[in-house]
Amino acid sequence: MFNLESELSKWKTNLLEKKSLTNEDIEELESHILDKVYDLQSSGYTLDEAFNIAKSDLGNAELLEAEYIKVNTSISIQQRIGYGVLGFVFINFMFEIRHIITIVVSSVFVDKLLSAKQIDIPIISDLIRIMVGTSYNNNLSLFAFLVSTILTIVIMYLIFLNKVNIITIYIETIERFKIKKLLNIILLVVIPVVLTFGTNIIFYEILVKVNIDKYGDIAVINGLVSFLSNLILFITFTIELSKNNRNNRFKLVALTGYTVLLLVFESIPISLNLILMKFGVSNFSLSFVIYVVISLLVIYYLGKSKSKVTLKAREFLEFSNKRVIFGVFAIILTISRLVLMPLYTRYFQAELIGNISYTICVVRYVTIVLLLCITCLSSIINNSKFNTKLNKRKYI
Amino acid sequence: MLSKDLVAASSKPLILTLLAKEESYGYEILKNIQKFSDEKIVWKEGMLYPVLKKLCENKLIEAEWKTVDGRKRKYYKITKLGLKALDEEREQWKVVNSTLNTMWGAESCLT
Repeated sequence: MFNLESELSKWKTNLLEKKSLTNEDIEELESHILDKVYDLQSSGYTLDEAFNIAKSDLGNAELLEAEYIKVNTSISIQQRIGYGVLGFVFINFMFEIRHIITIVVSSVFVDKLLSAKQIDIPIISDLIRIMVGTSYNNNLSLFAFLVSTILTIVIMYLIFLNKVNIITIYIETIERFKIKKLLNIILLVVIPVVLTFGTNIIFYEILVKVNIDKYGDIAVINGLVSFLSNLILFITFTIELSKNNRNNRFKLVALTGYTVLLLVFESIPISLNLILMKFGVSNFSLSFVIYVVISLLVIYYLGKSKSKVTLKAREFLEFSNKRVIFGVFAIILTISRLVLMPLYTRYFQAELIGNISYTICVVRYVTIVLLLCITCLSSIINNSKFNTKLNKRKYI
Repeated sequence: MLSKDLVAASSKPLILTLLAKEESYGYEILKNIQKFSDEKIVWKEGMLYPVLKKLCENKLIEAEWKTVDGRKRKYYKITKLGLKALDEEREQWKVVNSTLNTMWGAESCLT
């Protein structure tokens, strides 16, 4: 006996494997098939025949994919950079909140923690001791580690929860405000600036109140959790990339942005710093110069919409297997940072680390704001070009 | 049968004209095109939906899911921008149409 529902779901599963179709596209095609089946049935075909005719008239999965790929890749490079930067700002912001909460919570209990009996949790304590080295302080470090980890789990849950994922909500909310171009720019630029600078101001206010020694301990633990959480983030990200799911393209682009910018702003400068340190030439002004140069290069290349770098980035974001290589690259870099971290904390004096991180913060946020401006401006310029083209065509 | 190029070029004005009359969904659009063309224009069915999606992206039409008589369908309707685009298309097709008619008319007079 022919069962329409099971045949339909078989047909749908086959289509779901095709990367270029979204769930909504498939739902629409399904409704088309049903319409056609009922039509054919009323002109005398059996259900079986009607379904097969409807299916073959619509075209096979390969043909449908070829048709849909033309429309479903059209998210522009400016939009991608914009989403990427937004994603970076957003994830970064959540991680900064984590940092602040950890410091506040830990510093509240700091006296009790230090005076209490030393607790030792086998694997975790060892891990912290290896990573942190001399500045390890049993109870405080352990406590900060636990708080930071719990917060990370919450953030990860919010980012990767598929049904309601927070990045998509964030970007779609901003999209919805796209009523006027000016308003759009204000929202795109002001929100990140307020978020990042605002948290930094709160952050330094808190720093003044927390004993600087204790802050060092907590910050180092936060750094450790950051490395681990980035690692998990990149692994999950790579898995998402390999799934090639178009329904999550905002999230995917936002994650790509986070990955790229994190690599650009942190991994590369830190590695360079370590190399320079090896030759005994590391100092504050030099690291500042490195950051500025790298940031300017990033702005320059991303701003040029036809530069090789942007084209390559576009290739990555189109649906090719290369994207997975990118994810794997990010994971390897993060692991290497994890390995480098003990070196980093041992060789640098706390004061120097403070200076350098402050430089990173300033240059990074200025770059992000510039990137957002360029993104908005170039999309406006593109649109007006498009409009004049249309007008010209009208009068020719 | 129309050539592939002509199908691609004419799908936009055909869809916009239909939707300018009333909102409609994919299957109905296909059937109406067949009806109005005396079965001479028969599109590959799978082609229509990406074209609709493209038109949506260019903000010429809008889509909305609706349940009518217990059947859930994605309905499309034309936007102001779409009506403007349709006017432009109409002018252009008229130019092509009248040019061809004049030339072909002249040709038949010569023979």
